[in-house]
Amino acid sequence: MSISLSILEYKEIIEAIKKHANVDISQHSMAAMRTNLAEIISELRISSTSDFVQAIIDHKRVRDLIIANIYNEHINLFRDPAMWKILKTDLIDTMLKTGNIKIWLPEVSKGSDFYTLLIFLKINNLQDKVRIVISDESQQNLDLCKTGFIDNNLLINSEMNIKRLDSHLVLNNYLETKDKKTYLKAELMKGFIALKGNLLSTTLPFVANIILFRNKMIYYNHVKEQKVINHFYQNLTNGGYLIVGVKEDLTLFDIDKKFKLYNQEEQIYKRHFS
Amino acid sequence: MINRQITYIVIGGSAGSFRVITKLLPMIPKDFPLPIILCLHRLKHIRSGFIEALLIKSNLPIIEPSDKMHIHGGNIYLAPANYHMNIELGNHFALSTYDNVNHSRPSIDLTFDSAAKVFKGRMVGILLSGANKDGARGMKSIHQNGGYTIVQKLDECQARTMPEAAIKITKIDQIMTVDQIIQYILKLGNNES
Repeated sequence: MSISLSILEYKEIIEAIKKHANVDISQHSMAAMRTNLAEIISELRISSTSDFVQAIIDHKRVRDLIIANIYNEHINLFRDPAMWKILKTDLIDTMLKTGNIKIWLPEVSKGSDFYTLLIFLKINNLQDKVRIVISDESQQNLDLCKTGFIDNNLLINSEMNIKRLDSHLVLNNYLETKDKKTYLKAELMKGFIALKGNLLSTTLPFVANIILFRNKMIYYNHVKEQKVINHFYQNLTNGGYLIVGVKEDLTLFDIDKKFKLYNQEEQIYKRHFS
Repeated sequence: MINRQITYIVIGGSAGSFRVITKLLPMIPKDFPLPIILCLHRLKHIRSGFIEALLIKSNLPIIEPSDKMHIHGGNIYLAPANYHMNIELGNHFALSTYDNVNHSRPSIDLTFDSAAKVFKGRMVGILLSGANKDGARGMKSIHQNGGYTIVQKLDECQARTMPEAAIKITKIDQIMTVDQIIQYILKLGNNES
């Protein structure tokens, strides 16, 4: 645990980020963001809030670092393997009967679910049947995802996860090492486009069949969560699926007119027909 | 013992704490009015089983909170596997997938620190047996924010590293045996503290 930001210091920092980086995180979860920002301050070896604010004003590098780490998720590949099984057997297999499938991964961040999806498509021989859009406010994140670079932190427990999906699978079969860094194999890096921009103003080249947005809502407050759910409703086909994290229970809020709970255990929601 | 109104009980533990919790749970009556928030180290990839094992012993509901779930008295909340569990202004949980802290997710430090900032003098933080230093800095934050701090008596701990680390870095209000901790919690429920 790094330094501890007071609420006033936190507010001062998010004001600076809004003003100088043009990114509004005022509707993000304060507890998580406060920890997150404190970690960035610690990494930069900055000792005071005022110095951090000055660094935000002075250095694009600092602004880019903050935007790239807004979610600061550390999620292993194939987290919650049961969801991936359902994705194949219940969702994709059914949808393929009516045509190819379009999947949107907003706020792709470090790419954990994106890479998992690409491996998953390869395993199931679905690469040519699925189109993917990844999007993020951070160009840095998108650029990294386009290379297939996998942070070693994401690999912890990932081998165990993929084995729980299918005991015959070996994660290393889908990875390669270059200059001591781990990447997804180049042959897997296809069938997607990357869009930079604010989540709520992203314009997709298609209406999605599936939106994969796991463990991102946890970083929003209720107001932003509602806005995001509305945006997803607009960008999903009738009967399309929104998949969130297993501890992101959207039924706590008023979503009945837009989505119904399809799978409680894995928090999969089905869009109502309009 | 203390002259303040404590309305939130937050407990952290790791190796050796399961035994303490399973001794505590059957003692808590059905009409216990306060929320008890548990942050216990557990296997990251196992989502089921742990809560079921605790439920067998408990008279109160035990809930693994979803993100943004409100905190209510009379419930026991258990940090879900592979998420950090923070307390947010507005009296609700805020989960995160932030990196491990002290090799742990959930991290006791993060739960304690966020609870300290929200609950301030209305909380007690209780740190049980454990084999790493997670929770020590959280206890410091509880103390600095006006909360009350208790650690399990070291001689009773299966692994003493965790409470020992807390004693080293901050003022601990009470060091108690498991039986004393149970009696203390029951008194809080009876508003006798």
